[in-house]
Amino acid sequence: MIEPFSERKLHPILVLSVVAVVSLISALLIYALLQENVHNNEMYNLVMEKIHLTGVSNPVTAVLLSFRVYDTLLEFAVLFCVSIACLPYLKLNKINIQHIKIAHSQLFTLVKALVPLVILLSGYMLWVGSFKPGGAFQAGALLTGAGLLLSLLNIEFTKTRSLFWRLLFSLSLIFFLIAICYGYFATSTFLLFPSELSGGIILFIEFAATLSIAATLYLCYLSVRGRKEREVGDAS
Amino acid sequence: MSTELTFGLSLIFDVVLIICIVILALGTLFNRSVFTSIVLFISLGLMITIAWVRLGAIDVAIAEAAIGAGLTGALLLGAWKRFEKKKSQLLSGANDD
Amino acid sequence: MQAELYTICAVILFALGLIAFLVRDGVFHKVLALNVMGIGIFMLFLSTSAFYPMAIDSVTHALVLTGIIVAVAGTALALNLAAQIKLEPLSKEQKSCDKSH
Repeated sequence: MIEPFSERKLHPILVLSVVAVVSLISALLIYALLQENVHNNEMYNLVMEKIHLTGVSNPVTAVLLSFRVYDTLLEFAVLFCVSIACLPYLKLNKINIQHIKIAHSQLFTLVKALVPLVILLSGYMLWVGSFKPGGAFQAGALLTGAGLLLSLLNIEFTKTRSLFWRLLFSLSLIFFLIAICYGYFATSTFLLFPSELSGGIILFIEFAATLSIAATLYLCYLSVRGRKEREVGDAS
Repeated sequence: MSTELTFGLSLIFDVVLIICIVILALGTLFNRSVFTSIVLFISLGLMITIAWVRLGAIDVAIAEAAIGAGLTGALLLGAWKRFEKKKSQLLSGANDD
Repeated sequence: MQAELYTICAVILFALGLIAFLVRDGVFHKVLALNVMGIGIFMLFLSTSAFYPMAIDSVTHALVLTGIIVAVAGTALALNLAAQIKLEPLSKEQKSCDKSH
């Protein structure tokens, strides 16, 4: 069952019974969800009453990093665990940069033009998350996209067991703990930031989160690909 | 009159979008070739991005376009290539016996 | 009307993903089915806030954002683990059996 490429087929009666049971359950679910009294709109009023205390005006960022900041702390811990879990599968890769410049010149020019733009766009997305749709997760995903563009040219950063990369993976948790300690000494309440500095503290946490998310997702991408054989030269 | 027209148009847009999403999901899940499934999954991710915009969740749409469509597609394609190599190694290894 | 349509689409996506997860064989089909189930759940979350288009529920947006990242990390881990399964070289019997299916 768990072989990567097996194509066994199930008995038709089993397939029909599975389809019947799942259809029955989903029909009941649709009927339950379309009742009148299931949905309400209290959350909007609750968020909009207190959003001036958080220092940002985008409600999603306020919810993520002020009202439910505990969930975000645990989310960063989950990403840290994912980076630890993906590290052993990474195989080292050696490339040859001269070969890239001569053989694929159009691709090289395109990537040379796009990667700085994507990095700039990621920084903008981080900053604009305070008052327009954006934020740390989107900025981190864009930085990972820049890494993917570079890997089109076989330029990959594979020294992910070095101190620099280990700092990158844990940077979000480090900055988050610094912010929580400062918040505790300022307001004597766990996970509560002082109102005047709250916007700045949120940007501080989000900056570290962007780098950590980008590093973790890039490591996920590299570790899934496995070993490649090339020669000469090492880019890290 | 014009509000009814825009209401009807947006409803038609939603219905067409949902039909596209369901057809793409069927094509992704019940397909013989793994490569076709992965490519259709990337397209499904992009249509889902439009659905998030229609539902008013712009932050989620930005994240889904970058992560859900782009990064998951790249992950799956990289893993597929690796499995293809492993499969050809296994089959050629068995041939030598 | 819009919110009801998207709720029905969400449940259909979840049901299709569940059927494919149970019926199809092989790591890639199962991982894709899990991802489609996840997309269905996210759409269900977001369509509950579309019943009141003027009062957007931001908590569900934040939860879906977190969920997308965890879904992609889970997919990466699943593919890594599947690649570590050591397969024996196929014997002649198994190869002929494989071709006949």
